[in-house]
Amino acid sequence: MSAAIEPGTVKKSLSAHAAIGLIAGALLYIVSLTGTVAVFYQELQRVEQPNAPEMASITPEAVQRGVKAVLASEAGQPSTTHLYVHLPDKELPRTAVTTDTQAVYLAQDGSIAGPEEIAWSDFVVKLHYTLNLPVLVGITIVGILGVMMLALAVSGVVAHPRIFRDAFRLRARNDSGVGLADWHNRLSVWTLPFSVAIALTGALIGLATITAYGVAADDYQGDVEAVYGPIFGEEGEADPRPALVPNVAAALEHMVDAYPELNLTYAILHDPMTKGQHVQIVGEHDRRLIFGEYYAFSADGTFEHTAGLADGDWGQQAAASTYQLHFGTFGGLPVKLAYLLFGAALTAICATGTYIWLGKRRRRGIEEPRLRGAWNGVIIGTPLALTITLLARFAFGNDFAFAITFWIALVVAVVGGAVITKRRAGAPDSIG
Amino acid sequence: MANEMLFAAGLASAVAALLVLRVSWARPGRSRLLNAAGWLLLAISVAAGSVLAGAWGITVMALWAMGAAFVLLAVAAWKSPPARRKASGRRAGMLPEAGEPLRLGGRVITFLLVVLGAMISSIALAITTRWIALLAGTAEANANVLALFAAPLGWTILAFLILMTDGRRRQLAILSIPIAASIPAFVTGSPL
Repeated sequence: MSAAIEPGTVKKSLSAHAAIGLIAGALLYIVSLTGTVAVFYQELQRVEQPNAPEMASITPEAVQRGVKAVLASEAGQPSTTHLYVHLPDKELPRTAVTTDTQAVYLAQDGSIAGPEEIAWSDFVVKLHYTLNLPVLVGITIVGILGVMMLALAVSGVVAHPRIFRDAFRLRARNDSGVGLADWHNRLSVWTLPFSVAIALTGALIGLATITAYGVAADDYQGDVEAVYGPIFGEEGEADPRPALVPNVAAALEHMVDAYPELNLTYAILHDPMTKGQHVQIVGEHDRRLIFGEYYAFSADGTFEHTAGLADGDWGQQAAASTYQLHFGTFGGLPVKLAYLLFGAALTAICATGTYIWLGKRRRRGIEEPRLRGAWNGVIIGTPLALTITLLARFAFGNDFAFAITFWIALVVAVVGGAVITKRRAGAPDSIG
Repeated sequence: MANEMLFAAGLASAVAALLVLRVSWARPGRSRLLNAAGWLLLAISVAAGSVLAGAWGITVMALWAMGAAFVLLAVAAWKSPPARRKASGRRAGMLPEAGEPLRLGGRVITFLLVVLGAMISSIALAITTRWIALLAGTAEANANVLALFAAPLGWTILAFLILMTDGRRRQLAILSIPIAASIPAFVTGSPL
């Protein structure tokens, strides 16, 4: 491999690698760290709200009672456009109903047990998805970070011609910079399949909206939903005239009878209590990367069709596989633990990259205490700020302002790190 | 039962592949035989995963191979003697050395080309990819998913090429190729 790459190309690639890493490094670190934590979203919910009712399964009749009760509780308000029933499974043995305006748990008999209070878990996921920014802006920026991670993988491999030959060499006992570089390079090589999969699926999920805008402008008269229709199935025709609560129980009973091998994860009601309403059941297939198949039912619970995510066009199956591959939810706790290990490694790669660059400059006589201190602030401040918000969740409850607190704590850590390190160094910054 | 045996054989192959590669790459000289054996075992594990459970099976095999590599790395870290080699001071050229100009304007332009320019160009690439796929008779769902994959992959390649290229003209030329290629898609409209 080394014979195939010109020294000039290696040098340029190292510059490209450093440029991307330094500009995107802090955000990549935050997204990698929060992504690693968010793998345990279901488990975090159980820790955050330990007293919610849990059950191994729930009867279709109880779900029907729960749906009726939740819709009745919203009588007199603008009607919800969607209603989601999370069905109990091994990882989250709870039944939760979410509408446009509320989320509640159901008891085993289908009665409303109380509000879902998982604001901290949701905050971590939103931080990972959108950096707590407005959805379109935030998810696009995170998508761009996915692209930058892919570009870092490409430039990193090209910039290090011996990266595979030295793949098992780890000189950990060295504090002059060799050890740090070895950790960075070895973890990078051996997490490459994981990093590429995570970065590509993340970039795809993040950039899907703006790509769909472009495709829609070209071919669907600007209708973005029409881009997704052939992939995930079309939404039915809306008919706002009032109707009775749909028969979710009949749909669930059909699923249990016709597909006993599936793990049912969600019942979704579209435009409930209108003439245009219909029901979808999401069925998870064992040993598949797809998040599930959509089974569509009419309002009276008659089976109509599937969307084709399990056995339709390969594009549908590929698109439906991106989510579980990204979030590590396709193989229970063992896969989640693997994602924890490799996610932690990816986070460490993000952290060490900038330290390696700072170390090289220091060895060339360029001291940058403010930059080093600020980077220390990012690396230590991010988990610290997350911990502060978690403690605040238990001390002050579900309504605490997690996002503002996190970002203020992080800014304090970065500025504080820069000031303290500069003061300790006691010398003027070479570029500042 | 046969499936479980195949699964276990695939996992064993994945772990064995890493062990063989470890032995091979630790030798002073390259052993083509050991290298080939290592890669063959890795290919067997991927094939076993694919036969057993398609993409899911391949993914699980990859996780096992990476896990095995991490164990080997942990052993290497534990056993490694204190390194005598001096650390690299190789210049990455991201920021100026002492006394060099910052060239902030040029850096901002490069940033805008990589982020905004490459974004527009990669979306144009996605539209072109979808248009060509539809012309070739690909199903609409497949064509749309190809577009969704083309945007991030195209952006990655464009970002890398721009940063590897000296000269604004060449950088702009790289960005303009996908945009120019998308003109027929916009002019002729939908092949659906």
